[in-house]
Amino acid sequence: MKNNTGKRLSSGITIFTLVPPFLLALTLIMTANNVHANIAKTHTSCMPHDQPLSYTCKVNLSFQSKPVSNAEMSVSAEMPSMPMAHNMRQIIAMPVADLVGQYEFFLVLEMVGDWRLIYNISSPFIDRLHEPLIIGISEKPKEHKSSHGHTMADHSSVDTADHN
Amino acid sequence: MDMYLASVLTNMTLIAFLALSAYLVLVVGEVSFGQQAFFGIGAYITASATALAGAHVFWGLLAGAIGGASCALVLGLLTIRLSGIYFAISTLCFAELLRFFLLHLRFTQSVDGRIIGPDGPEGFSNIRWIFENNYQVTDFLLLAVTCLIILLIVLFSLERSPIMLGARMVGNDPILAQSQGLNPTRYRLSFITLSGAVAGFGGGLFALFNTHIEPAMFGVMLGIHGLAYAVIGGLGSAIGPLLGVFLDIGLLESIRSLAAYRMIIFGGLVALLLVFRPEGIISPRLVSHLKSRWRNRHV
Repeated sequence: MKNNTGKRLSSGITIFTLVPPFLLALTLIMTANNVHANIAKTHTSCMPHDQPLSYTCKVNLSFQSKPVSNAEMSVSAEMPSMPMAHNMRQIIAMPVADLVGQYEFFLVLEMVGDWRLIYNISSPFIDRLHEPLIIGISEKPKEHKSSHGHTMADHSSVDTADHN
Repeated sequence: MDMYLASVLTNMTLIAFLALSAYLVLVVGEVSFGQQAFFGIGAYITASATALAGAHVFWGLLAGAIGGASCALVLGLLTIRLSGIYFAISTLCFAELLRFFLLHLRFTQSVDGRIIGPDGPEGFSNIRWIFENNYQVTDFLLLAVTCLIILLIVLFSLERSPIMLGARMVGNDPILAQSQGLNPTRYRLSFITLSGAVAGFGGGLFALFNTHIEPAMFGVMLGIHGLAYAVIGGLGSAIGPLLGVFLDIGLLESIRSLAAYRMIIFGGLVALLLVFRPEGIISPRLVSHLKSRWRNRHV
């Protein structure tokens, strides 16, 4: 390899800088394992509102597969493709009467696309759960058919068309 | 402090690292569309170090910065004979290559029933450092701002040194710089590596704050934003990219009522600035002019 001045760079340096990342990558890929277990999970379904890009969402919160009632939970959303660009105010998710573990909130988004709901739980435990939400041009979000924990690891078992 | 305001300020601080990394590459006369790759590398390494290996956050962030710097050095070496548009395209290709690699990277572990580790397109979740250390948004803002101030002090020290003068000379005219006894390749590699370290460190902070990262976050949009902030702010000083970030995100947040049209305004703002102030708000010419006025006043 030659530099601008025509001097030859040491091929040893090039190999030294190139080989470790590839070895690391190979090691990580070869030792990959998938574990499917989560503690806290959310399962969200959103219905479009009269106003454009507005949705009434219902979320079921569970902890170790048991519904969690009286949780203090706020929701925000971000677009993974534009991190830090969308700063939404936190929305309080209110418990739905007579339905243990179910909460409701009103969501107004800025545009169509792939969003990620972020649940900040402050009580009875502190956690942050993430769940993808896809808003199509028809403005009807696709309802998720399975639960989502904060690791999203169980997504691999869900119809990928929901998430891609 | 209001949670929303603290969150916006934290995001501004975090993206400032990316803007400053883009600025460092621009100083040596190159345009990089791939700084988001180093940001992502830093994020994944810091997340792995703290959440998987249980390392102290300091070592996690340091590992992120070193990881970003190493990859930037590799990219610098591979593109050593490229410049201009060819270098820009190669950085973009590198960033996309890394994103696709992250889409296939799966290395999860179950810790106390929680899934931790990169899981392909689902990303890396359960980066619980802020929960484990009981960090509120305002606490994290303080941490991020402190890190940014330290970085700015380092960059200001660099600005006053012959190193930055040499780098700017290389950026303006590499052949002239070479005739003055400077080694353009060395300057270019050093600044690209430094930019990788800055982006990697910022990415690490981003991972800790966000608690979840995924490959989609490190797409071309993030890199374009980082570059645009540096261009809007100007290359005259390290304050330029910060000004770009605060002006743009501040403006975008203040016109939140315009919803999706805000992004059109962002594009329009960049276009207008490139027309009326092609060197950015704090251009090298402006800094030089201010410095000479300062000297004249105090002589």
